[in-house]
Amino acid sequence: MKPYFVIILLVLCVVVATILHATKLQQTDEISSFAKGIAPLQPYLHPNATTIGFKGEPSKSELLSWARFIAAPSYISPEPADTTLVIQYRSNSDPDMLNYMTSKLILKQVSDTQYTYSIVTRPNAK
Amino acid sequence: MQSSKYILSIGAAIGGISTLYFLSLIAHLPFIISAALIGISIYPFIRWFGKQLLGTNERIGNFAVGILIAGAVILTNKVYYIATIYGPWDAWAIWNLNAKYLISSEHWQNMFMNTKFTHPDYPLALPSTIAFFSRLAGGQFNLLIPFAFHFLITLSIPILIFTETYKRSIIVAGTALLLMATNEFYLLQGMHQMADTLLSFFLLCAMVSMQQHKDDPRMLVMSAAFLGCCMWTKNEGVILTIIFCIFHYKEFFGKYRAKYSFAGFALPVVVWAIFKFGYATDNDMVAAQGQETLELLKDTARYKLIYDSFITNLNEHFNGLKWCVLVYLLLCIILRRTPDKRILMILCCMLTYLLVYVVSPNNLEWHLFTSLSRLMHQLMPVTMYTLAMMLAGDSKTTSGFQARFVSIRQRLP
Repeated sequence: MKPYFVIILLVLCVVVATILHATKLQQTDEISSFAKGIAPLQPYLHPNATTIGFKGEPSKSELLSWARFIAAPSYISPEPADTTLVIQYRSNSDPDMLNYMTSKLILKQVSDTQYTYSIVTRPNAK
Repeated sequence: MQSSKYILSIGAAIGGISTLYFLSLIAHLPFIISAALIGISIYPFIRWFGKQLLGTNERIGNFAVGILIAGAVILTNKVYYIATIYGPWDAWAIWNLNAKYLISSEHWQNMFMNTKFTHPDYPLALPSTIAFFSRLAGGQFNLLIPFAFHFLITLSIPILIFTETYKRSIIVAGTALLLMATNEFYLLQGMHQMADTLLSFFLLCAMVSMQQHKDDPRMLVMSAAFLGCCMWTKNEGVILTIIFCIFHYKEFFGKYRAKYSFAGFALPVVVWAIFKFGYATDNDMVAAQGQETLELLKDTARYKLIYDSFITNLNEHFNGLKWCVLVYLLLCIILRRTPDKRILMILCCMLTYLLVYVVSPNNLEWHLFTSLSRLMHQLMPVTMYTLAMMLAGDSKTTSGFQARFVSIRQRLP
């Protein structure tokens, strides 16, 4: 065999492995269901928008990192800001989260089975 | 070997694409122009590196092809069961996140605002390559691109070791290939979508190129370029590059040789410097050093914790390699020979990695738990390669006991 057989073998294996792996992408895991849940808020998370703040359930530290991963190249600040992405448990949300939401104007809110996703701002900001 | 040069070319292509794409982002070049520039730069590289030397017409025998196919099929099959969609935390929260930023020519610098929970100081060889191919595939981040890329690297490493050793000993080459193709820890780390395996690939390429530099001066350029790519892949790459250069000082910086080395280092090191000094935030480990460092160095409990964690990882994930290296070192002592320079270099890299933990500002237990196995994984391919080369019969220092491992074919007239 000629030496370029090595490259042919590599390419073939990459193609086969990628096709096989593509079948796995249909499976849902925490990040993919989070991405689906937050999808309706994407227009508010546009990179040209002002700094987006973040407030999430204190017991679920992954939420900020998930939101950043899904929203990139937008920047999501770890602290609340004028416009804030709030992610709460749909039921049994932390009392601090509920208090925070009572003083905010909700621009958009969606829910899935596990979380409620909201874009909020100051009440007099509209 | 000509077949090895094809795999080295993959490494060179990754280094070239990632550096040139990052430069094109800085220069605000439209993607079509940066893609064209990268495409055009491949041509002179192929002309330069693709030129065969006299007497290097290689043909891979049918038996070797059979083993190669078997190894590749086993690895592909195992990866299907091992690979996950997003990989562990660092994969999506750091590496793929940075790749998503770098896809955007307008907003890629938002990446450096993420100072909490991410590492904007990490070099960009991996995210930059994934970003380039994502844009080439339509501009959207697609999870199949990092998967395909990491699979390519994970498969290229054992194949490179195989192509480097099969002419010397098909038994050693085949064993090394099959051991790696069935090693679940290696495959798991490879498919974790982090930069450790890419770093280990560049280090292996640097070592393979260095092995051949006497026959072909272009390999000195390549070796230096691959070390530059190590720096451009992970912060640990700087440590590896410094140690590699110390151990190969004469080869890199000897008379008439330095020009080749500097030519190789130039592009990746310049791009790394632009990134580090122009864009990246301070490294948390470096920034935290100060008066407390001396206290950390004096704390003997830290050494004990690091040693225990090292031994646990060694026994858990690298038991076979551990015994091979120990037996080799023991034989060197009995035969009163100096151990192979490459083994000493790998041990020196490991020791330096362990010493860095001593001054870690993070919780040491957590730090060791989350990263030591990955650091050891970075050195695994070069250790496997060095052992395979020695057993297959390349080292003068091991001639006393290498004969029994040299293939029958090699000993025939």
